Amino acid sequence: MSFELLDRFHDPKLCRQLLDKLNASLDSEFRFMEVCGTHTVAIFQSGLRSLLPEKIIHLSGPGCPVCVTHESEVNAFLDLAGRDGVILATFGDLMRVPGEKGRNLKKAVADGARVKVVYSPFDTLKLARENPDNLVVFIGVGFETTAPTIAGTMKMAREQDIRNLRILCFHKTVPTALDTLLADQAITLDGFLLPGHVSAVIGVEPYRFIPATYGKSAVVTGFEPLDILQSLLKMVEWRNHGGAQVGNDYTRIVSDSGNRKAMDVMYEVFEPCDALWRGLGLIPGSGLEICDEWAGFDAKKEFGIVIEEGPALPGCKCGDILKGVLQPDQCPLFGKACTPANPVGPCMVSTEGSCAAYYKYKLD
Amino acid sequence: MCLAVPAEVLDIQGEMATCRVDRGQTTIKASTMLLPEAPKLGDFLIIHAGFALRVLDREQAEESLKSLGEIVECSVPSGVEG
Amino acid sequence: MSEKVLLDYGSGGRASQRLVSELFLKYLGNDELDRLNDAAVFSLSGKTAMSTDSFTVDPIFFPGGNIGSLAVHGTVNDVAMMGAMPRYITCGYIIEEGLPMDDLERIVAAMGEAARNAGVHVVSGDTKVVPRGAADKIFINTTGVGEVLVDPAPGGDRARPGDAVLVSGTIGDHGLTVLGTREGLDFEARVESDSAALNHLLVRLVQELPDVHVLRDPTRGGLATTLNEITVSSNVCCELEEDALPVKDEVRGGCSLLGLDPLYLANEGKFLCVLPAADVDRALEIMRADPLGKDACRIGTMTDANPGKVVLVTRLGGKRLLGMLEGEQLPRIC
Repeated sequence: MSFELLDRFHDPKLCRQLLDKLNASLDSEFRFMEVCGTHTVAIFQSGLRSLLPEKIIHLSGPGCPVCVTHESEVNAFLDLAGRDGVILATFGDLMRVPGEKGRNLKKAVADGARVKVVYSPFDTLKLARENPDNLVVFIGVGFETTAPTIAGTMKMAREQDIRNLRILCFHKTVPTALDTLLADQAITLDGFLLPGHVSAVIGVEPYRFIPATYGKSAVVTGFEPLDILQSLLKMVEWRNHGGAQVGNDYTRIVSDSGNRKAMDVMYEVFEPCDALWRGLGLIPGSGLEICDEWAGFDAKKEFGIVIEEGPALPGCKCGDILKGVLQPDQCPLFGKACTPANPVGPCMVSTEGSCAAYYKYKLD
Repeated sequence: MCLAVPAEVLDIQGEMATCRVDRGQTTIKASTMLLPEAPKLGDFLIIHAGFALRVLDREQAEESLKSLGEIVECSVPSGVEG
Repeated sequence: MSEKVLLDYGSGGRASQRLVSELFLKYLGNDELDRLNDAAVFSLSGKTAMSTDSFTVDPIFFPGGNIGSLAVHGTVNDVAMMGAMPRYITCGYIIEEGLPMDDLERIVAAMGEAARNAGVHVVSGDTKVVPRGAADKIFINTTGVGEVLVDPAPGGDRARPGDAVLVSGTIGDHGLTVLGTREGLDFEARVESDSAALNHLLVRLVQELPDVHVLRDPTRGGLATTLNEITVSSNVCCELEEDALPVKDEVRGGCSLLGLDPLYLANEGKFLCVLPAADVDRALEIMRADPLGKDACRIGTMTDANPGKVVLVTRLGGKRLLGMLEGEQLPRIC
């Protein structure tokens, strides 16, 4: 392996050739959704979106864990910030996510809350050791890519006898949510780009239901322009030949069975539970919670936190946008009441949120 | 949703690998505890939030590029104006 | 003097006097400052540029500089961006009690050296010491003045369609360096802050090419933010070529790891130059002849396509908007 080899996955000449090929293969509109925010950003950032054939209709799905973190989950961690004796540790992604009444973690810090941005959950071990008189609470968001890193950190904490670390567990799992999305009659899609790094952990098998039950194609793919174009072309050609399939175009990182070790670590610590998704509501079995054997780490138990569905955000269409029913600029709040400076819904907050990507990258 | 970068293993101490990100002298320490097998020096890891999730498969990468080349070759040359 | 800065050192009494004579005059002294008058007296001729800036960088020491050298470079550069030769600067310190005296000495020594290299005199200063917790170690304000050498002076509103956009070197070095030294981010990047005084190079540039339309240093907010400010002020569109942007591998690697964009990272020793396309070759020659401009290159062109916007032409040949950021970039996992 070398960096030179990896560079070839964004070779401009090959990309143009693939675009031509894609163009020639399209006899009617092809509607695709990427379910991973990193794909959303990759499609915009590389300029690929401005080059896609007109007949390719691009919709952004529920792929950003920040976007789908439910408002009551956001309020729960905002309530924890500023509690005596609590140091909140978080990925930088959550710092600007708005809760009720315009609250966010940035503002909590200004009010005196102790909030630490970490790059890796691993960093919370040091934080906990250095602050033995405080409880360090890590906000665990993310899908199957991230959940094993939190689980691994908990195992290390136990090994090192660190007792003042708690996890506020809001992890969610992708295949169950896709099932719910596909079951929604309002969604008219021809194919999905499946998340490369989630799939590095869970593999390809969990997606087999997509063609079997719903007759749609889906391809696990990487984040370089060539990866994305190759997968789009593949799905268009499958449609042209009248069949829906599941494929894997990210074989350099994803194997069919995934990473068993990472899955084992994840399920040693977590177990499936029902979860609330912003915009999608309650999806049975789509979340992870800390199992009894590891209950000592559970911030929800420690602080008696219960996550409940609350009233919807007035006017916000994030739900429809996450489902791909509306494009971000079709929301009446887009760019007016809802901007990255004053986000109403979560899709505008996260860098990977579809609304934020539209606002940030899209040329009119 | 999940930002992960490829990085080359320069050094391994227990379950921690020091890896080079991109061609320059930027390195990161990543835990290898989630990998099914211990990586070797020179392996490329895909790293997310300080943890290696997979060892990149060189053969598969070359295979992908080869099949991409084949897809393109059997297409009409671009940029030819009538 | 004691090992740490005490409240007494800002009291105006003997302790203050000792600090001034044994530290500040030692490193910053010159004929005007040595008089210790209430105000500095000096002459300037013609149009004068003046700029002030406060420095609160965390950490105060970083590879490639410290808050002291940065405070001189920042203000000297701001004055020079107006096509002016910076002459005099003032500096005000707000110091948190307990700051190690050695740290203060290193900072003041770096300021002295930076001022000498830039050819400016520190002619007035002030020191306040505040109780622990009322400030974070040390804050420095500097104000600079200088004579404007060209008429009209370069300005953010003078970019015209057809103008070329040049940058004097690699971008994001300072921003990534500072992030890399912050606690909690467990990566190492062999990269240094680019903090430097650009005035000598800039003076050569505007004296030979007085028709330079815009000079700006892309500090906080980075190249993308500065270009957005220029395109709005001048009501033009900037088309940037992604392939042409000079970014060190170390910075690119660090950015991909943390999910940051080097286009939004701070620079402290780089400038953007917008000028008529006919002057590009000579401007690049002048810039590349100076070590501070050795990586200078053309990165784009001003057009009238989307006034007020910066458009990035990507490696693939696609186009996308390069907007302003809402706030500071944070390391992210998604």
